[in-house]
Amino acid sequence: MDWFPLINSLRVAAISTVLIFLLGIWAANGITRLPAWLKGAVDTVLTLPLVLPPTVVGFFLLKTISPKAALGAFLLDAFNWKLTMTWYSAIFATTIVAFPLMYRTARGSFEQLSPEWEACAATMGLSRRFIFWRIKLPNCKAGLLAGTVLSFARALGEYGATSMVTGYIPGKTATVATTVYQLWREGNDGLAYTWVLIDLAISMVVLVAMNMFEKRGGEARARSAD
Amino acid sequence: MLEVRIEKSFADFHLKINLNAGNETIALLGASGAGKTMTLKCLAGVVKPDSGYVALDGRVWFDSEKQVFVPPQERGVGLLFQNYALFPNMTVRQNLLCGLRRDTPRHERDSAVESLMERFCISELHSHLPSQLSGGQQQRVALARCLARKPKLLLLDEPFAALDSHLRWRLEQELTNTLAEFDGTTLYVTHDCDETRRLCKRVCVVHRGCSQAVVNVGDWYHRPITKSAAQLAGFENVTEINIIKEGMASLDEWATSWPCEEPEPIGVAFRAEDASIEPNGKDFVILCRIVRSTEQETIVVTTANPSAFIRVRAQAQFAVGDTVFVSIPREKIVWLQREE
Repeated sequence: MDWFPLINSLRVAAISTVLIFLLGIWAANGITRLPAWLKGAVDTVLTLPLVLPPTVVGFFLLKTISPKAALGAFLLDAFNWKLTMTWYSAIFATTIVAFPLMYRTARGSFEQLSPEWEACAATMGLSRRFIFWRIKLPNCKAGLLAGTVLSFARALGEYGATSMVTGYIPGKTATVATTVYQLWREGNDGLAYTWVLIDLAISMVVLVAMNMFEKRGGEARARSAD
Repeated sequence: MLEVRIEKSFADFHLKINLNAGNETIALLGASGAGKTMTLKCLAGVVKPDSGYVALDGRVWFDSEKQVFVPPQERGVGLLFQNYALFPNMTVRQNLLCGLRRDTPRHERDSAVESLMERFCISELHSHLPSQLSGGQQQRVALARCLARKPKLLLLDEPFAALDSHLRWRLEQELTNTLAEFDGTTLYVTHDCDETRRLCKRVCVVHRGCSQAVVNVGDWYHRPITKSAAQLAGFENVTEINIIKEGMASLDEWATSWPCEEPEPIGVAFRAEDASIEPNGKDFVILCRIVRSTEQETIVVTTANPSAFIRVRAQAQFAVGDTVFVSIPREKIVWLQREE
């Protein structure tokens, strides 16, 4: 059996999860400092990929980075970067589609932090950087981990946008999700079932892990509220 | 010397605080939602007022005309919230270390933490997390933490609100000692009349975002000037009045009129303990019917209006349903002026 789809899916999901983790926390923390009128607009844009069909995300991506689009053509000309139909094209797709999960979970965690901590810390002379790294982040660890795991799971399972920007090239761009679709089209139910079971197993492990993080976070919150 | 003259507008609320304080403990007294905590945040620099001026001992922290705004990090203010805001991911020692200047050498900070812990009797707790501490211990740690940088201004936001009543008195004695040693200005936010009288010498009433003149606690307690001040001082009976003619005030709610020599009062107040029930009366009386008699007090309504409740000190010799006069000695009646 060719394990390439699994390895490819895992590396795509892992890389996009790292990106999502950093971008999501950055956006969730940054948006609290925006003026109220801008906050709503930015929040809408950042959450949009959650509700849009992934094919719409894929469509916009192709209209931006495919060699036929202006930016894609420029990158190809100038740097010889081909951003579609490669394995790493999937990173763009999964990062955008799964980003809102991290962003919204992180934002929820930040909002649950007591604003008094920040106020007290500031009067104690602690810098914004210290407050972020040593007070805010550690106290929403559970929520951030849950968001990360959720984003990873979503990135691993992404199909719509990924298939549009990477297509299906066995051994080059195939992921578990696109492989299952291809096997079904070919009527290869046996192998399709194998991949379905693998995907189910991974998803379940991930969701159990997430529930554990959330439970721990809930307990910590209950204790600190006491 | 603390000088405060700030204004800030919110969607449904306007904050306007004028206050001068020396080396003393001043109560910032008001009902919940009056803007007391917001005032503290403006003084700490966590919230920026729309306009005005804040200075401590001549150092200007905020001046909207000269575009001066000193961030909270550089003000050196001790801020204590009612839930103490200890950092839950840090031990007692780490919390205290956060309170000290980070540019001092490590061994100096360590010894400063040691002496703080000794002073507040929390040495044994140094490796505990805040969640492992009792409410009283949390308060000690929080107080130690906000005094660590030797602030000149201490802002205390209802420090006893989160504590069980049996703990309060003890901790109040500790806090009294701490405040007596403290060299600077303390603003003590509270809504509690008794706490104010025990801990503060002067009081500034805050009503719907507006501060009233700072007065001595005794003056406020016995002769409050405004309706809000009277209610906060525990006056059980407060009503509005109209001057119907020279020297005569009509108390519509209580269906009576009283002689009044004050200039332009808008209300009147008296304490339950100062009012007595008489079978007949003269000048300052209200015609009432007794509706309830408890160990603590007697409750009457005016004969004209069954929902105009008046609270009077307990007098057992009258029965429920009796029509009587509530009588108040002239010197116990407080005439109230318009809110500032």
